[in-house]
Amino acid sequence: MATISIAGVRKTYGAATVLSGIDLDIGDGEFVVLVGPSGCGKSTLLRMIAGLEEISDGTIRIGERVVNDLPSKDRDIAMVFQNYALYPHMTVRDNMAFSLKLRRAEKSEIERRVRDAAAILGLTPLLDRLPRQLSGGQRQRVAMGRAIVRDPQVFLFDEPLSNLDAKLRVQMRSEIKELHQRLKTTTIYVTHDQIEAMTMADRVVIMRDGAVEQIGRPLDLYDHPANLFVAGFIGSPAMNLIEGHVEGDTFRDEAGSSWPIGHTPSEGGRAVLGIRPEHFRLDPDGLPFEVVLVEPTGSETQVLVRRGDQQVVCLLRERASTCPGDTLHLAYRPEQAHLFSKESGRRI
Amino acid sequence: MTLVSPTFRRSRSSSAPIVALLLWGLTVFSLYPLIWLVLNSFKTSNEMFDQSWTLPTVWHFENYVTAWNYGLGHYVVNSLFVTSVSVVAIALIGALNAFVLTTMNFPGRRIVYGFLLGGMIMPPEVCLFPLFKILDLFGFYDTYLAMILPYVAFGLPFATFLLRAHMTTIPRELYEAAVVDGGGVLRIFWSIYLPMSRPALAAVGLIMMMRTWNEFIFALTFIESDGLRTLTIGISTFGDALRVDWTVLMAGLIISIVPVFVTFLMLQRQFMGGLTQGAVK
Repeated sequence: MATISIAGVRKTYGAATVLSGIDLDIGDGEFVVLVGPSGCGKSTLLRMIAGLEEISDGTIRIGERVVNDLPSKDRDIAMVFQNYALYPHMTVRDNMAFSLKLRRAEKSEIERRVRDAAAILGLTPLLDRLPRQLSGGQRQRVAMGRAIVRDPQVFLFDEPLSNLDAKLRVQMRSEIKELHQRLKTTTIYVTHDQIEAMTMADRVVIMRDGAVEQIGRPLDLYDHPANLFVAGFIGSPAMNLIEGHVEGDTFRDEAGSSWPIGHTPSEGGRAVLGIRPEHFRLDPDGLPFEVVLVEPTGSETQVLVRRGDQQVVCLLRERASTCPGDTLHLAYRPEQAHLFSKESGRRI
Repeated sequence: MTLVSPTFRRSRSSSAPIVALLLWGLTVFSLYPLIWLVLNSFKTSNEMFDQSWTLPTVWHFENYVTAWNYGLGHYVVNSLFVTSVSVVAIALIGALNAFVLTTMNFPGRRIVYGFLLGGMIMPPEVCLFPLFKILDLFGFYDTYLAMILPYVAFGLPFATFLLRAHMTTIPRELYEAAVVDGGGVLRIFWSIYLPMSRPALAAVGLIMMMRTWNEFIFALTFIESDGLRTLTIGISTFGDALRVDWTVLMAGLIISIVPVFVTFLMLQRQFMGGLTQGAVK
């Protein structure tokens, strides 16, 4: 286990800047998830930590060592790739033993470690199979097994669940989390799926366009998004963002409808109001909305409603028997509403 | 669910008998001389001229013993040695070329590759005289190296081309996983890329074996001693010596085909896989 310290790290390809000054400190045994849309630089940052990409500027430390110029093999890391990257001509056993053989470990030690890792991951009956004889989930486990046999200081995961179907993804998500709780190895996990980030991480790093937008514990990000991007990115369905302006302790949208915000923000003028879909509730004294679309999922009902020109999504726990064209009265607690500056996008 | 275009299905079924007929014609055309050669290699010369298309009345296996004892065995050993060394060298150096061109990014990579490919359009006959001078200068004339070095040089462009085409289909992540696992460049080549290139290596090996085994011009020009001569040269002199004993000559020709034929049978599955490698994802 080790801490990781990233200070002022930049990555440029010619004139193009892919990462622009990343600062991040990861604690010993922490599970940190880098999340963001495609092209935000999260995988590049992970690959720089792994030593697969050169660092244009800045410093990366693993433990006490600066690893900028250290080859991958000397960084004491293990990485799980998106497409598993299993050696197809080697059995599961050989795949898991490969890195130990390269380190000239004793044969008995290799056998013991492979056996232990296989037992942890439920791979013991599969040790003599080739990767092509395994299912997607089993391949994923072998990729993890290959990482854990080395007992590295840091685990790096690069979108490891992207190739799995939805059900298996949920199962593997739990398995990775359980594995981390068991081994307590410092872990950096890259994903574009905010649900994975929220459910797995001790801390989430949200990135966009090569920069960090916000770092924090999952629920802190959810409850207090620092800016419009984070507000829209975290949460499914996404937060409703309504453009308008602030008048005292009221928000007025473009059509002139007023929305309670419960306090007078420090900044007035043009702003964006954010309300999470699940914060709406049925209330006879609430604001009237016209129902546009009803999508029941069983456990909850997602309803698209309209107030003037403004459409919003609300998520109701109740089985609302409503149809398009009906009027629903909805309310939300003003203290759960978020306000952002229209100009800077920052929370106000 | 598999979708088949009705148009494609109709056109395939209507043309299938014609294609089959053409293929059968081609098969007979190809096999006719070989069957004729095999049948007559077991006859006496008189029987060959009288009944060249019947089965032998008595199977004269001794034709093969006679051919071998005429010195053919010595030529076979020379050919086996020169071919094996050349093919192994071509496959290994070609694979290294392909590995470097696939996995490493260095300035001028495309130029190097283009330069290598340029070798494919160079006819060997054009180089005969300069090669003769160079081999003589370094003292390689009339040695095994006088054949092996040119064979390797002329085989490398095609080998590099085919192996590179194969290696570009190996996911980059495998290289990176091996780097993180602690593998050096040569170890990654030896333990990951080389075993994964087996189909392409089989194709290269077989094509180069046939080319080297049957090569005539270099073997004729750069070798003077009878003790170093390969099978192609041996057979031509053998033919002169046995101008009247045609069936023994035919037995000799069959012996000369056997190693290539057996190798092809052993490697044909991998060979076909190698040739079609990279055609589709």
